[in-house]
Amino acid sequence: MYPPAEVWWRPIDRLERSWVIIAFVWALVLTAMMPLWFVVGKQNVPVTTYRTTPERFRETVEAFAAEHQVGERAGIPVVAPPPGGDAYVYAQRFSFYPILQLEKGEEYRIHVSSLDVQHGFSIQPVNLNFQIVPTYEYVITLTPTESGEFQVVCNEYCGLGHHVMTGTILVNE
Amino acid sequence: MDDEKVEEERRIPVGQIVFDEIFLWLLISIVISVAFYNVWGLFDLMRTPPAP
Amino acid sequence: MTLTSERAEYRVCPVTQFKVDLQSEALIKVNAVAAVVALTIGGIAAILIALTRWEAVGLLPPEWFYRLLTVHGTNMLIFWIVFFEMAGLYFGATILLDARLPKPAVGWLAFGLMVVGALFVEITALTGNSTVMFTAYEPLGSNEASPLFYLGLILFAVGALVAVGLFFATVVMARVEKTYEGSLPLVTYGLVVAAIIATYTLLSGAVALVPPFLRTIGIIEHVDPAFYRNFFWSFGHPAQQINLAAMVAIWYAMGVMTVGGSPVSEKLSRFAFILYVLFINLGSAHHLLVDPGLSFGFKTFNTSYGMYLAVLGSMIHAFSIPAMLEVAQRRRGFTNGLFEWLRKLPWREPGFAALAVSMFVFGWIGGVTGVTMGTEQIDMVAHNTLRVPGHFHAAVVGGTTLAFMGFTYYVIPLVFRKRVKFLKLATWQPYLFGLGISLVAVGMITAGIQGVPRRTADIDVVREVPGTVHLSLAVVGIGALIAFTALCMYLAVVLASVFTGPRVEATSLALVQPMEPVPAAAEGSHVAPKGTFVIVLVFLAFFAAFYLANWWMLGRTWFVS
Repeated sequence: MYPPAEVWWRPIDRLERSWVIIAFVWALVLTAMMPLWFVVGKQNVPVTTYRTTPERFRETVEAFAAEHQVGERAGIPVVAPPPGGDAYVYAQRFSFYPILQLEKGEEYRIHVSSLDVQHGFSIQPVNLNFQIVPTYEYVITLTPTESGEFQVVCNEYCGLGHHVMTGTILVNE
Repeated sequence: MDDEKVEEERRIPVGQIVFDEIFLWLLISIVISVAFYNVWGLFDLMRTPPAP
Repeated sequence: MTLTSERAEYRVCPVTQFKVDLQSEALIKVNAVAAVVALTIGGIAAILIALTRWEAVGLLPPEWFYRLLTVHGTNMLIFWIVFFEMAGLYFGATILLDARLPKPAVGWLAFGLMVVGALFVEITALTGNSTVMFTAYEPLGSNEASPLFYLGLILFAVGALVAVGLFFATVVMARVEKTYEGSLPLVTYGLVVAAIIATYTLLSGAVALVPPFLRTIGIIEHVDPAFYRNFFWSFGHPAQQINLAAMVAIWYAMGVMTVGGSPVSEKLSRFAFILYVLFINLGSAHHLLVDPGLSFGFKTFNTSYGMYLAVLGSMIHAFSIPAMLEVAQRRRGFTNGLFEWLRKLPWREPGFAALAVSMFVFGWIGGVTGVTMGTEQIDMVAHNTLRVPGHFHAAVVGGTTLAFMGFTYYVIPLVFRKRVKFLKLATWQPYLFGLGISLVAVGMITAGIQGVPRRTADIDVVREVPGTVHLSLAVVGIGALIAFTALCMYLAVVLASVFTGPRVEATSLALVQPMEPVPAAAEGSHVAPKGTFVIVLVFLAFFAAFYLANWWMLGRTWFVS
């Protein structure tokens, strides 16, 4: 608060120097963890993205749903994409379309985008979360490691019905 | 020891002068933030290819 | 030499001997009052939304929940904080430098713009015409918000930018008129850092908010939602880094005011501030870690502030400030063992209590969780869950807000020149507030770890959640009740003192528990802050444990790439 000495550029004491070094090493550990996990970890943030339009993406999703539909639930088609293949889901206030039926241990490229405003793609109770941004098609390469019925919750505020927005992912053994 | 100290008192060390240059830091701060965050981020977004 | 022909009028503070420019003092007062008004509005909204998320209470219907959440976010994250920082900037540039304001009229213009802007936002948000959240993401924002909402935010940002310009002009003029010699005092230096960050922040705010404003009045048709996210967060996130820098400056000030002593190493403390200047704005990318379209390189470089160098800055302050207090205490003779100095600190002094609680909640809860979920991959299990508000309530409310509250108790006698009433309340308030906010933060963090989304009126509608989730949300509600009580205590002290307190000239800095002056250091004597060293090592161990536990948690989930 008060003016410092005229010359304050002085050597730093031993304990302080030790702490700065320890803290810096910790910062290096924090930095190294991300590329390390990128190489050896099995959970990395998807990068693949395409530019699209709401009209175009809706057509792609509807064509995909028609081709692979295996059932229906409350008016929404249940769709089983081929293991190792592509799946398409759109978000629209206040639902996700369609319902996906996946196989445990198989890899899928799930393309998500929005037809209107931004939404969240939050798989529960697995708790994996992604941002859905209209006009961007985000490709999430996903391998379910457990079976059961999972919910997709919207976790980005999208309007007054935001809290009722939900979708479903089914995973078979 | 004493001589050294007197010598030190007379000259302001370069590090101290650089630290006191607040407008230099203002400039560097804005350049780093704009270049690494805004420009790099927008560049990534603009490289997004159209859907196949 | 003078730069302007205007004459300033001064008084001399009887306690600190600082010369106080009366125009600057008036600006400090009005900005502080506006800040407290915003805090009150935001606080009332806070308790109502917290009692809605506590599902057993479920107070508000969804429409009102979302409306008040918008009100809460804009008031707390922008208006309260920025108005208070403006007061802080005037304080640091004039009083601490014995300087005058070059153009007080500019300060009033800035204040006027900010008030008008804030009113536009309050009115549109409270009447339900802009229920788009603090973030107003595109295209939801410009579909649903009123043009006045954006205009208000833009006016507010421009006003604040004008005040920041005046701050820099004041610092330059003080140097030219030689009202101070040598380097700036450390507290002013920290405020300069806050002003540097503010310049970038407020410019970004204008860039982000102008296109959606133009869309609401029909001039342009489309705003790229991802571009908006990029610009918005170089406003929204650094806005909180202004807080960080201002808060650290105030930590140093409150340490000196309530305990005494001086920074153990000016060089190291200033170096830590420089690290903020260089790297902290990159942290804006924390919000974009699971966004489409951005590369691994962009995400990891920016989220880590270069190489966690801004985190290193905070860890240096986390050492320097307690070390300053420990050295002062040891000079006073509290040298037994590692921690006698700690026990003998003025724990009943409101400013010290606020400093201690604020540093603890900020570092141990806010800092640790923030760095952890700001890790690129770990963000996949944290993004947009309640963990995010859990983190920033610890940082911004338990850290910044509490530090600012503590500082107000000293502004009342020194600037408003009124006796502080209800000192007992002032002593207890920081502890109670810290407890409440810690419960809020921990409740939110544990709920978020269980996948509970943020910004959601009701989670039971779509999904059956385990009882532990409801327990976490109940903790949030109970914490909010405690924190709200403490907020009322703060408002009672401030309002009663400012409006009904007797006018007095302060005679000492301390309000409750004055400390003896620190004896001057003997030539060549050196006091090592050993206790502080132990404390920071324990902190680091806790940090590492939490961080690594999160990698373990991530490693058990589905494979994704």
